[in-house]
Amino acid sequence: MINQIKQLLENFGDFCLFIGRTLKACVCGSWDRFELLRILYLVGVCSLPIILATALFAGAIVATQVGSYVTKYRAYEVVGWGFGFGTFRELGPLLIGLMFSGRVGAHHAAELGTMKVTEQIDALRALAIDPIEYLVVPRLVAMVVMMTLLNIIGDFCALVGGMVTSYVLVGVDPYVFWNSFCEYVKLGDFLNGCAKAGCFGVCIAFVSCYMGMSVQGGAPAVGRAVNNSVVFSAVGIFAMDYGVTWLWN
Amino acid sequence: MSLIAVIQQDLRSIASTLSGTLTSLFKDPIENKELWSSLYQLGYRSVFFVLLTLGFLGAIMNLQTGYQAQRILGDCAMVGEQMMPLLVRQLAPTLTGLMVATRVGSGIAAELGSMVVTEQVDALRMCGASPIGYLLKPRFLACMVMVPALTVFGGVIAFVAGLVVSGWVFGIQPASYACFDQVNRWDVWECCIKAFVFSMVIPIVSGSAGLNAYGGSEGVGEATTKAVVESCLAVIMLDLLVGGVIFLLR
Amino acid sequence: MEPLIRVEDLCHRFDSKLVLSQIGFELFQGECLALVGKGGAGKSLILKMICGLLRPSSGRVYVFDQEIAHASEASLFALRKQIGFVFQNNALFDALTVIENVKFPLIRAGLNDGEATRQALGCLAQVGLEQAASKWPNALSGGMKKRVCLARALVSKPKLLLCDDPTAGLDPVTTQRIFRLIGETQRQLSATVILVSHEISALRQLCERMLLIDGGQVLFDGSFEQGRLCSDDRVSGFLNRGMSACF
Repeated sequence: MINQIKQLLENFGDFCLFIGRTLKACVCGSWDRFELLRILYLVGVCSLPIILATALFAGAIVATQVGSYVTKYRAYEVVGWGFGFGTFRELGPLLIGLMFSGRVGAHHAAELGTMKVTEQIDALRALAIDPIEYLVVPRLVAMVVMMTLLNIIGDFCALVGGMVTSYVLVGVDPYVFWNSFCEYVKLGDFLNGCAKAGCFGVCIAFVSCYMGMSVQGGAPAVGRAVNNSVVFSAVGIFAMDYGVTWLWN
Repeated sequence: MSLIAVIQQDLRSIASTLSGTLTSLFKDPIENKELWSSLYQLGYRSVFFVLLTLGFLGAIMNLQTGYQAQRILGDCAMVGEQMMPLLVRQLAPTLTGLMVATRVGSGIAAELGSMVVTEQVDALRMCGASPIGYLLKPRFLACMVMVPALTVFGGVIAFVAGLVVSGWVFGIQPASYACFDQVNRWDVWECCIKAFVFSMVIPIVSGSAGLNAYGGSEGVGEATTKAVVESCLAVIMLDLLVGGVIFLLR
Repeated sequence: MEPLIRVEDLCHRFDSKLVLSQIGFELFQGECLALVGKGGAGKSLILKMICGLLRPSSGRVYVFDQEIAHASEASLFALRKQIGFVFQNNALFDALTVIENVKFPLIRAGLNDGEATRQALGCLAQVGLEQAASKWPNALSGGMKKRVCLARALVSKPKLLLCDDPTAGLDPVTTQRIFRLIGETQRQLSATVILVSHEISALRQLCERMLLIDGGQVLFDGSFEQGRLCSDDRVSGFLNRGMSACF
């Protein structure tokens, strides 16, 4: 038990040092523009289909849930409010964040982990290239930027999904939906979601890169690193979500 | 390969894993040792994770609804009453499902994937044990038991967290928060069906990703990533399907 | 006499790339065959096809007079009880201790635990590892893992032993020891052995016959002496270079 706690604290300290080194490399180091562009492309474009699908379903799920309240109280004019607030503030960024952590975070944890066990990271060091500057910084930037952008695109996708589902399942006219949406949902709701998405991006990037860089062993260790990466990202996402919600008001 | 071809191939392998698991369910004897260790690994080891995430979730949902209720209605006495059906039919099963897909799904894929690339699965087959019967079936059964149990646990945790937050931030009395009048039998049914469906789909999807891993450590990483993405997506899609059907039925 | 293994017209392709084409050979009871060739020539594929772990794209494989390229998985189980396989990566089960690993095939075959433990211990003693019985595979060195893997392959007294590069990454002393063990067990069980390896000189002492695979085809089938004198300098070159590399 004592050993476990000691191990946990050691890992946490290691993680904090990793964050510190990465931030320092962000500010002081030179940015490799080609690597950054390549990773921006990989992160953004390759995860677009899965994020769009998630957003579409998230919108539809919120619409069915709101629909059951709306039909109970016959309050069709607030459907847009319930939907907009539920999706933009909460479920949209949350589901997109979890999916992003599964698709992008896990992928990069696996990639860095493989590089670690095949000694590619040592090879970089031998070439006098700082692995954090070269590998982690572009991933951090790409994940934060792309998570925010994907959330914005996802919001619109969710809006479409919600409108269609409200019309098909609940029977709310899209016109009524749109009107109530415009009337009640403020820019603040949208920005709150974007702020959350950005924070999730930071959290996912740090956790997944740390897990990837700290792999030791062979193929089974890479699998465990990916597992840890998604698990701790999920905890981080929920904690961040709570923090932002709390601070925003 | 194009996206469609990849999706087709994945669906085919998931279907064959499902049929293999279902046939071995009735055919082969149960591996007791594997079953107990799966129950421990997949169930007990997920408890703390579900506690953390669902606890935060319950707190967040109550904060958000409370703020909105204050803004629009000027009074948040109804928050608990209105939150309960949502918690039972949606938040508890779906978010627990997603968390299990993340924790357990990636765990199964990482374990099976690394057994495939280190030839341990081939060694099993040489010893006359089928990988699906020996490895996947115990995990499948463990999920069938543990996912519903974790769903109930997660629901209770989210409820308690909500109770604490609404009392602390909005000053709602626990007695008026814990009001289950709005929960009807449809909500309970929806929760049960979702938990049951997720408990089947998560081990199958992630097991199929793990057993079809190839290559070295990249292969394991890829399989684990695929398991998380596909099982999360499956949970979200089935959630909409079950939720939509029950919405139309009620 | 009927051959123990008959491989006919074996072809295999990954996606559209042909990796094995028209492999054919026969192997009789008690023979010891060395399967040699460059890395990536498809030697491991052939071994896995002989015990049905991999299905060829086309062709036929007969083992113990049974066609296995298209046999069902259930009927293959019965066949595999008579085959021992030493894997390239050892493939010891991480979740089981050494003794549990070795007795696993016996337990699966329906033996009771006491008898299986007794036989497994005997087999471990044979490879000189009885003191490591309760250790975990992760705590063993490469050579010890390989010997455990050999013990697991031998525990069910197979009639056919397939060894996929049993000395990869081992030091010369351990390499000698592994080959000696394989030779001893072959004589004891009068088993048929197929060995994939790059240690030409050691193979030459152990096997009377070799099969050289190159570019997915059988380039040469015969004894080592014939191979060295072969007019095709791909064959003689391969053998001579392999020999000189060992000394």
